[in-house]
Amino acid sequence: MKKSVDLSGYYWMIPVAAVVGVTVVLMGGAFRNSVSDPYAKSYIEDFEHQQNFKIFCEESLLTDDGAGGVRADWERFYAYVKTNYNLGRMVAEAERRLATGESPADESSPFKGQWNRLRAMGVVHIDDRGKAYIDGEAFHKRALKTTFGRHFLTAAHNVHRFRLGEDGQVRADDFYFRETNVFSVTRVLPRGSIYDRHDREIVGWSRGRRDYQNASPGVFHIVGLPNRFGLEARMDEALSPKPDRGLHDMLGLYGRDRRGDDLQLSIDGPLSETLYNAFDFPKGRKAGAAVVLEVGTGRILAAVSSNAPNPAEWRAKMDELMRDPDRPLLNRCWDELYFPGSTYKTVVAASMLEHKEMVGPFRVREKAEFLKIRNNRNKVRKHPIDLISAYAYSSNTYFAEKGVLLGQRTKETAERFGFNRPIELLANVEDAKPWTAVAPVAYRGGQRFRFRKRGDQRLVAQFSIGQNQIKSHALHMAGVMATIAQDGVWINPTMIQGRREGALAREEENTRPFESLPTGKTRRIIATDDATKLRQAAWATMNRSGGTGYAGEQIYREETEAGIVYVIARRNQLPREQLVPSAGKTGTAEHGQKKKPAHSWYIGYAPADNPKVAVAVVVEYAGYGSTYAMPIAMKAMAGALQSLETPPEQADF
Amino acid sequence: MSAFRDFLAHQITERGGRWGRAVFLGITLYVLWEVLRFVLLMLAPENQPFLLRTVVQTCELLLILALLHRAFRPGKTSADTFERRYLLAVWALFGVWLIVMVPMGFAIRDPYLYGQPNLQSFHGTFSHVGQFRWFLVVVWLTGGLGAALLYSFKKRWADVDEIMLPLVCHLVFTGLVMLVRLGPDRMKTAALGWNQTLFFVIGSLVFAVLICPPFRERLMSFAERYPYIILMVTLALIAGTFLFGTALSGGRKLWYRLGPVTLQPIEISKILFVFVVATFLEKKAHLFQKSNRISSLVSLGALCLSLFVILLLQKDLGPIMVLVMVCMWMFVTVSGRLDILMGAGLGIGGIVTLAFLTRWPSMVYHRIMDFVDPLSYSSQMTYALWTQASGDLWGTAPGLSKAFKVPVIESDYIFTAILAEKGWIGASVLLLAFLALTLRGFQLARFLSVASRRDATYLMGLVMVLFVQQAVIVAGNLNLFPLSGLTLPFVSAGGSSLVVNLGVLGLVMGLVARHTRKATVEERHGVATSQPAQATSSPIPLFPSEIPTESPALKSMSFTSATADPHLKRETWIPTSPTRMP
Repeated sequence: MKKSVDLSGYYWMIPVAAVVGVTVVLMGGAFRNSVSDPYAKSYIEDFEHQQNFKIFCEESLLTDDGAGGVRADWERFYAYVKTNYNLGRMVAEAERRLATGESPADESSPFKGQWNRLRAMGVVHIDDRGKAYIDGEAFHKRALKTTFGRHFLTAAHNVHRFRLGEDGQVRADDFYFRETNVFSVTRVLPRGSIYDRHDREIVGWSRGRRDYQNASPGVFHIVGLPNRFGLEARMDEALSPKPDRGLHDMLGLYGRDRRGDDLQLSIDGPLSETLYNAFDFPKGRKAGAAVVLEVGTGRILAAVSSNAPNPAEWRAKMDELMRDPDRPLLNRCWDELYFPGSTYKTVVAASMLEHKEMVGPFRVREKAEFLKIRNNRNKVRKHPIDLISAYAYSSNTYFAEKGVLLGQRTKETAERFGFNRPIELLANVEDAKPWTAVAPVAYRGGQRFRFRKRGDQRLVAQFSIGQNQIKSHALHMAGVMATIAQDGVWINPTMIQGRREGALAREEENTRPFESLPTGKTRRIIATDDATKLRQAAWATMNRSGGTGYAGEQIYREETEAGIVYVIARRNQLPREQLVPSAGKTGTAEHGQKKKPAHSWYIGYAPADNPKVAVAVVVEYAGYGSTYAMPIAMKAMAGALQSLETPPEQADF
Repeated sequence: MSAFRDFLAHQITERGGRWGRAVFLGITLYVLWEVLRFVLLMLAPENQPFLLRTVVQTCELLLILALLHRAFRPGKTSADTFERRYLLAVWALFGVWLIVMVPMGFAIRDPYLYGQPNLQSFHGTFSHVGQFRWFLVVVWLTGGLGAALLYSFKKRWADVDEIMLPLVCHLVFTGLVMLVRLGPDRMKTAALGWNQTLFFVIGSLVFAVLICPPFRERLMSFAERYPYIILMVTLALIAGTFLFGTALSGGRKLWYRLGPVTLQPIEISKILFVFVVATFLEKKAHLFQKSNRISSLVSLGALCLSLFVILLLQKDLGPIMVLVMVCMWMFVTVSGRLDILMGAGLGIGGIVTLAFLTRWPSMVYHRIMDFVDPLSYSSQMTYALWTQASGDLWGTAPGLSKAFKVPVIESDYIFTAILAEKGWIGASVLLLAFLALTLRGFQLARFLSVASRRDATYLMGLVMVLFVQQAVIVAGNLNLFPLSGLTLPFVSAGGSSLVVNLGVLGLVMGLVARHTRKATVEERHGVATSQPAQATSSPIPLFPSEIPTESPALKSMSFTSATADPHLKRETWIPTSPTRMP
């Protein structure tokens, strides 16, 4: 073993190389942090979150400067400080006394203590001739040392980031994209716009900021907020402006800077708004979600989370929204899990169909005592019923007993249907950051289930009717229904259907056509025959007398001179030949919370004979699926069918 | 028409001519475009600070590159002339930056606080801006005074090196420019800047004391005789903070308060400790080089641990890091034992890992987490990163960055401010300055290694303390390394730090001056000289490559040419002992 290194000759190279190496590394790090700038993107200044900002606006400390901008009014600032803060009050009082000639330093005067404090602070001076005067500069500095003063100073430094709202109120700019070149010349470039499936603009860009004129709350979670969530965050690379680096850059000229890419969504804007409004019930607004998918392509036509805020107002209310116990910022379409209740019977039925010995006629009991399961509304049936009837009448005991018999096998089917597997929403776009819907869960509790054991059979029975440890969300359940409508093939849902390069920064119009993006990946879930059986069952739910959805609203198709109009009405209120038969499953999911009505579910598709749209609606704490969720779902499907029939050039915009 | 046809034919047949002309035309157009752009930028008033900043920083960069060149290749100018010119140039640049650009930045940054329209009723009688500018002029003059003092003392007592002093003045001026504008408001920042300026002058006096031969010799002989007293003083200074210390920030008692002045003892202790280690290593060098027995390392380990444990109890991790690295460096320099170094490195890595896993001391854990994920753990680091990001290549002009958002920007995070306001170019100038300082230190240590190995090791240690401290705090600022509370030498706000670092400069020069003397007249005129090259450049031979074995100057040297050379008339210092010649 060599004990020491012989470095004679060039040994002095070692320290030199080490020191030079360290310096080079440090210079590289400095280059990374300053020029190539990996951290700056996460930086948005939020003035409206700042304490006191409201006061600045209400008291007009920040006002219109008469040139379309905002000005910090220091006169009013001092007026405000003089009425609302102790220091200011003291100074005001001292000024009054000096002006009126009243002696402030009298022994008897109650003001004497404050006067002395002012003198100690250096705000009041007494000159050689014994004359007192107020040092404006000292007062100014004192005032700026308070939190209020500091905040106002910050706001005054940043007036260029404020704008006047339509109502004349001062607002902080909602999005501020700066492009700074080596000479620190700054320009603001527009982000790309987002359009709906009929090329109506959802969010655009006007006068240097995001334009939310046409965005309804129904698209809030889809569009999202820059750098926070939704498409604005996930598709940031596409939507960000594309500055043209060139010589003109040195002068801050625009050159061939491009707007960000425009996106065309498969979302229908007006439909989203209608659905958002559909959650207004006579007793008040309910929380919930509705998702509409196009059958055959898997495109999302609407995904509405019912208490989303208005996109135009999020900025002003961000704090409130974050603290709101109703969690309006939560996307209920795919970020919140619910018990699917009876709608889960679809999966159990599919599992049964895969094992033929399960399907034969079967006599059910009112109460399955040993399983502790009761039927909800349907009466005892004297004669054996088959799968289709049990599905249509939503018999709990039937599916509970079948579920126990199926045991482990249901889990396999459920996992093929997408349980325990997250859904990737933007898989069809190359440069998107991943946007993953929460994975629905089934049979994934803390305990391991022995499906044969008696005590655990009760648990399995509850699972089979979509309770206890089965959870899902609206997007996934819509996907399940679409799978059945698509002959047993799952198509991964997508929401972006087209994309085009943005216009030049100075161009008004972008005339390029949208390049269409591929639809989601497909995978076979169940056999075609089984899917046909399930479609019969779903049809029976809606169209066989006694089915849980039979009595509710239905879709009707009217041909007027304006064209074809889809409307909804209760059964038999409109001529029978106008009926568009739909198919689906209602669900009433108990959540175990006392004294609150159950979650209301509906999943389905329409038309029943030639499916075009699939839907899933969940309404929190509402009641029966057929009374709360179903009308919304019918509206959704009618609107979606209408939307599919309308070619882009006839859309009203 | 035929001429045109001829022209075309020529263009088609003579391919090279056509392309060459096209390229030439392109270059011409581009140059014209650049000129036009420059003129337009000059005309735009809002670009003034940016333009000025670019010009000033380019000058600065050129200066530092010239100096780096000088450190390796002696130029035509004499050492003295070079030094004076450099100092004057840096001082002039400092003046432009301070008196022209800082007020410009303030005017842009604080139009509401300091502008005319809004504050008429509160202004009183004087114009604030004018007053502040006068303050800046005073800072400039006082800074110049400090530099002049340093220069004259050095000239008087130890004129051995023309690189280090201008570099240090460059660094100090950079720090001053930053400090006069970094504070939260004009009055506070003025106080910060003024404090630093005063301590610069005080530091130059300390420098004088340490460099003057009588004091220097007494001090060194005392230290040589009683190294253990030095060690005890070192430990006592640090340990005393438990009893008499005050906490200025972070709840740790790291300072002594002497009336209005606060003093951070670790700054002094670092230097003393390096001396003790150097002495020890030189005494035992033969042991380390030969034997592989652990016992020869025990006393060194105990020495180091005694200090580190005290520092650990104080939760002052930055100096520990610096001292560990410097001690290891010195050890390897003296013994050449890379295997022991690796063992020690592994051991230290193990200890740090253990501290991280057990979270004791918890500071290690927090600092490492801040480093790993600054955006979610440390708001200070986050603001620092954002501030650095605003810097870009040339920096925002002075006063236009958001540096005031970073807590303790004036000491720990001053590099962030420099990166933000002077950009990558300015930061590189700073890093290159430290590099040049260190390399020069190596050269001096190499020169000393023949005369006195102990002094050489000590000098190496001193230089490495500066370099390592700089590297650690800069890397911490850049999020390349966990941050620990250290000052950037010569630049950060902090009186004791600046004074002690100037003292270090004095020590370095003094150590070299111990082994040099003034050349006699005959030597200066080239009679009976063994080192003719000394006349025009630094007296110290640099790297082996630079020492001419067969000097052409030596051959052509004659009485007439020697007297004709103006530089030879000046007094020159030459080594007293034989230097390392190849």
